[in-house]
Amino acid sequence: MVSPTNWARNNIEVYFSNATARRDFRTQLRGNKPIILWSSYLLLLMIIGVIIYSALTSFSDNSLASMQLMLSTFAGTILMLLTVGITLIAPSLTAASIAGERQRKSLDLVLTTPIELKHYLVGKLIASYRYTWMLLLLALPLVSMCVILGGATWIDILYAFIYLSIFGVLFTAIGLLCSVLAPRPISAVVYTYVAVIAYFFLTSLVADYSGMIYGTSAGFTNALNPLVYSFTSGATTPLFGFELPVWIPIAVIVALLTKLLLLGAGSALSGYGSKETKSLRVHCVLYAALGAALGVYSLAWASSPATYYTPYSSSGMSPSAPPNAAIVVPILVILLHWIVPFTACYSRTAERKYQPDGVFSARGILLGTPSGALPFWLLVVLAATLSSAFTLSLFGGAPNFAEFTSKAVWAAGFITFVWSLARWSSSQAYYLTTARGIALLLLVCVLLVPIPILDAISAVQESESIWEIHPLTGGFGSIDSAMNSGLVLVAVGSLIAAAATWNDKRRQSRLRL
Amino acid sequence: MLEVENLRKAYGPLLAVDDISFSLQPGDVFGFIGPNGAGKTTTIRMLTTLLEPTAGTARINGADIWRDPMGVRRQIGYMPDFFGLYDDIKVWEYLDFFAAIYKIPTSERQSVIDNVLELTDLSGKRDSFVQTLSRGMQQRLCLAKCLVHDPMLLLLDEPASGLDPRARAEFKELVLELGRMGKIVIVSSHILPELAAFCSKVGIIERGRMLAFGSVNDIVKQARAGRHVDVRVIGELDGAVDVIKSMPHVLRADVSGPSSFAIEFSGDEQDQAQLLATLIDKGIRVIDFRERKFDLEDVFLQVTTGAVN
Repeated sequence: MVSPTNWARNNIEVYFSNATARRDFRTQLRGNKPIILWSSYLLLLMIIGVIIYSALTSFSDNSLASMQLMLSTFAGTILMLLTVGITLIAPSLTAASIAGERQRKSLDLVLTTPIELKHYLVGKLIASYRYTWMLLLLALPLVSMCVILGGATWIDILYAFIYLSIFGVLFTAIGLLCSVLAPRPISAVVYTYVAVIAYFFLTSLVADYSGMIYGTSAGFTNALNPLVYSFTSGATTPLFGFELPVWIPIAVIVALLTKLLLLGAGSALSGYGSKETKSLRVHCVLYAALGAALGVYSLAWASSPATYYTPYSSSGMSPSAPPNAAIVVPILVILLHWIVPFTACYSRTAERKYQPDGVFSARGILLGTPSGALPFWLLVVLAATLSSAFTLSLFGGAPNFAEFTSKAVWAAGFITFVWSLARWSSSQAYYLTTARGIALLLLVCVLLVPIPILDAISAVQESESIWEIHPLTGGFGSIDSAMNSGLVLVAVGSLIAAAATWNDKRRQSRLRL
Repeated sequence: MLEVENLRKAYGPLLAVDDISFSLQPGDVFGFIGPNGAGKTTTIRMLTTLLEPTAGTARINGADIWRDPMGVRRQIGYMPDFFGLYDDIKVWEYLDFFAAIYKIPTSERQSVIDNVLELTDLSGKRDSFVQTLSRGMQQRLCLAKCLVHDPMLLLLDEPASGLDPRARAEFKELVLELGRMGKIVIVSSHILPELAAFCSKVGIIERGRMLAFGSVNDIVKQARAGRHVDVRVIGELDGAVDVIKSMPHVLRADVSGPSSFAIEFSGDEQDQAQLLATLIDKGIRVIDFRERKFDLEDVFLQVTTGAVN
């Protein structure tokens, strides 16, 4: 049992007296590198600022309205530029932090000390986050010009800086996770950019959807994408009957995501049955429930007639039950399914936590071993289903249990199918990375390759029925279609998993001979 | 004390370490010898908790590598064969970082850092940047880092590699001093004569198996049972060999050169003297009669096959 005093002391040590952060702080601003980097950054900002200003003034007709529009466009463009700069620079500065230590072979020296991984990773996060703030502070002279010229107010700048510093934490955490997962700094930078681009793509879709429904006054989901912050800065969002400034839910979501990313990094760095892995698994289940609840809540608002007709004054409205709230579960599973191979693949040449330890074990859920992969993902599906049904019953009326059940069965079937592909690839490959690579390749083939073929067939047949054989379609079909598709996927997945087990045993007996 | 019990590390069908067991007492300086790929580094990394064993365990003063890895880490100092130091950091800052990790109170850190710098003869380099240090100094700095928390067990993986002879000699003195301070020191190395000179115990490992373990003298005695004598004569060589072969305790006698032969026999010093006396009595003109001395390198070459995993 941890006493409150110890807990407080430990947290003060982690966040305010962190040895890793202090060491990095000592080295960050030494030598010529930072001077060159910051000078180049300032110079670039100034050049681009001048170019934008010149371009905008050339289009202005010197009328008051035109000048006002030009200056506000100038301010918006500068803030957008700053966002892009932070998005590009912050992750790349972080990405090398742990991968660089690994390459330099200094990581082992740290990992053989009694340092808590939380302590180490938070230290790295703080150290890298300083760069984000350096970028923001250095941009202050240029941003001030926007206020002096009249294109923005100090409040606008303050909101922009709050948003950018919030997203700076998220991008730094993404960079940190990629830095742990990547073997080399250069791969870490590539992984990070891919992850950041994926984040932008995903949140753009959300913002697009959210913007269509809520307009500019609501939907904090709009502001999950940093590029749209200028449209939401200073805005409020209706949440559980309250009007909250948008940056508050964004800060909470970013904090939760950052914790998840740090736990992921800790789990990857730690060994068999570590507390980081246990905590990561528990958080994943909780976040699945939370994500599903937020999704259903958004859908409930979306389907509210009041929301449709008066998108700019949403306070005081009550959402009504959306007809397709259960669709949140398949969407969540589709977003997450690509992580399944990373939890389900195994290899006898790998570390203990990735060694084959059976097919299905509840104990493996918290240990993070391959036998716990399927029960863990089924638990995620269950948590998302129960949470979405519960949220709907709270805010949108009585849920349709048949629909929720069918979507949950489809989600369980799809997860089982993806899991079986990971098992099969593990039974074929010698190394873990090969197994994961094969599993992801199979997944892409199974999901994407049939699309043009099915498209062609449906065009010839002039019927859409052929699409029912695609693994993804069941999740978005009728109750019967989802149920049938789920059961077929469970059956196919079980067969593939049985084949994988048989193949694995045969290979083992051959090796022993 | 350090107890290693049936430690095993398998990568699929490949056994990197196969059932290794040994124990060491405070003050022991243990030389871990083996060809490349024999399993030395894997064993050391398992003892540091960086690698998880497939089976078996190790305990350091009761702290088990499975059950209490943090307890193990508090009691060890690890110096890998290749290690990196941070750029743009001063020597004292580097040590301060590790002292902070080991939760040495801020008020004591200054004196701890000064002490380890003095022990490793780096006091003059306190404010130097680590990247400006020579290889030997960097090795010593890494050792200083291992010592900031006064560990019970020091694991030094190939510490002398890349050092010039002077730095190597200084390093040897330092390790001996640490042994005298009551620490258990495990040193893996390829430079066998050096290990023989300062290790109280050695272990020879090949293909993951511990082939020999004990003090250098015991290992040499075990590996080379009996005495080996080289004899050089003038005149009839075959006659001399026949005379020797007829003597008691002689296991074998083989011609080893145009005028020399080698004797392997199981007798003591008296019997050895009797061999020489008999040869002279029989009129054989002996110009050299010398017992062959074996060292660790001979034993190493004898017990290992040169095969790696």
